[in-house]
Amino acid sequence: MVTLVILLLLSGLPNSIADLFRALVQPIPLLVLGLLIGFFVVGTYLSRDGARFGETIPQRESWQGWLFLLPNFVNFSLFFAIPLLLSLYLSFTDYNAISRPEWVGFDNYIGLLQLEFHTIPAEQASGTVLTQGYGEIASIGLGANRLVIGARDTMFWVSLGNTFRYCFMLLLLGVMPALLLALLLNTKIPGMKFYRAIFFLPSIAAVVGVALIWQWLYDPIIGFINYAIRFFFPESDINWLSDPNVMLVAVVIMAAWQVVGFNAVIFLAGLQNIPKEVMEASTVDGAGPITRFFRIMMPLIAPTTFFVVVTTLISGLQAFSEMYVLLWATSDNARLTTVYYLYEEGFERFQFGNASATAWLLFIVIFIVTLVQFRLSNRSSAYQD
Amino acid sequence: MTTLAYETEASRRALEKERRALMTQRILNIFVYIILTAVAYLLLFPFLYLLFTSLKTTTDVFHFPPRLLPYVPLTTEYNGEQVTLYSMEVNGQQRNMVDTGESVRAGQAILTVVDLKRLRIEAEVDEFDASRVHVGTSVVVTAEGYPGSWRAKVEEIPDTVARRSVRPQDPGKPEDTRVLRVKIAFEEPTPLRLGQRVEVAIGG
Repeated sequence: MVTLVILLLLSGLPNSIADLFRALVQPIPLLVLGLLIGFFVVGTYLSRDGARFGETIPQRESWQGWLFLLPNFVNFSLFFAIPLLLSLYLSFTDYNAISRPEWVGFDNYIGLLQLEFHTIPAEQASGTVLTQGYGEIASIGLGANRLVIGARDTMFWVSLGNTFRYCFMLLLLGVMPALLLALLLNTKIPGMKFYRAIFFLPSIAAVVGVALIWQWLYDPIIGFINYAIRFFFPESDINWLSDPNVMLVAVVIMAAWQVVGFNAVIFLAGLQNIPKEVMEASTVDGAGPITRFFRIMMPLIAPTTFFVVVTTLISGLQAFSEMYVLLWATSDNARLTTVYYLYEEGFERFQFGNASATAWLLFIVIFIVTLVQFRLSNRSSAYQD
Repeated sequence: MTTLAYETEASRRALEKERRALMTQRILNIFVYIILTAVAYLLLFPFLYLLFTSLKTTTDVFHFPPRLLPYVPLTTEYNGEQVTLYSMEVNGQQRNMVDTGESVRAGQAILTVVDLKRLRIEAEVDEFDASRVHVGTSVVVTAEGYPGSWRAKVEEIPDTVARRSVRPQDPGKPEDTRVLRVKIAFEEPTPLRLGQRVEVAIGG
């Protein structure tokens, strides 16, 4: 105790308290302090004498309840609800951070989504048929002809495609290995708590810091990943973060590394919730390990699987920081996910209207995906209850 | 009597079976541990990399081949100070730290160009011998691994003494003495490389 006091004195506590007081003796903090004290005085006075004005007890409880709600409500509306509604408003304007926002109706949404389809001979270049300002985003061969799909906002469609590709790979690498790990962790042998803690570790680290570490690991020459690959394939030289074909995979590997342990722990909780009697009964009935896994475990952990898949999918659809840190040096369109696109549109090209519209379209996409997931899981989790 | 024998036989067999099941379970557990440890190592590796990189000098981070433990900074010692090189040698081939297509910050060194014709030697002369060295004194230079020797002359003698950066060969000599960093110019062409260690005999 004495040591603690001495330590506090040595660490300059008296000085900092004096500084704090000095900072508080300023007009605005004094005003805030005075208002707070006045508020409490008036509050206590009113709570005693409210009845004089015919205030009933439910009335008093009601306004006191609102008062208790106030701090959180201010925070929620100021930093969440108002920006949300503002972005909805901005998505219908042409706001560009300088001029006054002009109402443009659905123009932003139309501009993002507008497509055109042309059927042309296979050898003809697509530039000859596409309207000025449109870019080709896909081409489907139809015998001698091909169907060219052009989009007014090519980057948006490319980013959407990248996002879905990213999510698919993330589900593949972030969920299935997690289930296998959870099965291994579910064995009743000592030391599993230790492994569980280690597997959980990557998910508590901040994305940006982790991405900076992986940037070094992905280095084409001195990075450990290429060094390990060269051990097996001496001639290979993968430019993880600058080759358009692999950079999305590189980001997916990092994201999966971060999410796999977390998912494994969630799966483990689901597996441990399976009643022991059910497993024993199935063993007595002659079910082998594989049958038990597919017929007993999988249906019983369906709600867990649903949770894991939905959270992983949504985190994938919203992926931004990973690309922003790992792929900042490249300018290839393969780096664009939808959120990255909307960031560049808003904060680099200052097309806030367009960026807000992108955000709301992304919201609709996430909403639909989750809704579909809900329907599917309702059908599969009939074993519950 | 026979029933008793039958029973012991059965119980013995049951015990055997149980023991075998336990063995299989143990072997299975060992496999589980191996897999889990491998996965744990993979998942922890970026953190290990972070930890070990924090113990390295800037030069060491760029070392090839990469390894977790810091290298002894052998190749980075030049002029007695740590020089950050942005190019390095891999199997006798010069490779740049900056790769094609990568962005480079303004002012970032990409590679160092050296004129080997104007090669100079920086020799450390013990401060006790300082009075005996003069500009123009002839010097004989030898290098390990090269036959013969080369003639050279003392070109410049600094006005200050500095800390020793090369250990004296005689372990009996004190290490905390100061040295004079004398510059020596070659009088004939040499096959020597930049940063190579040579031995000089001044006045020889």
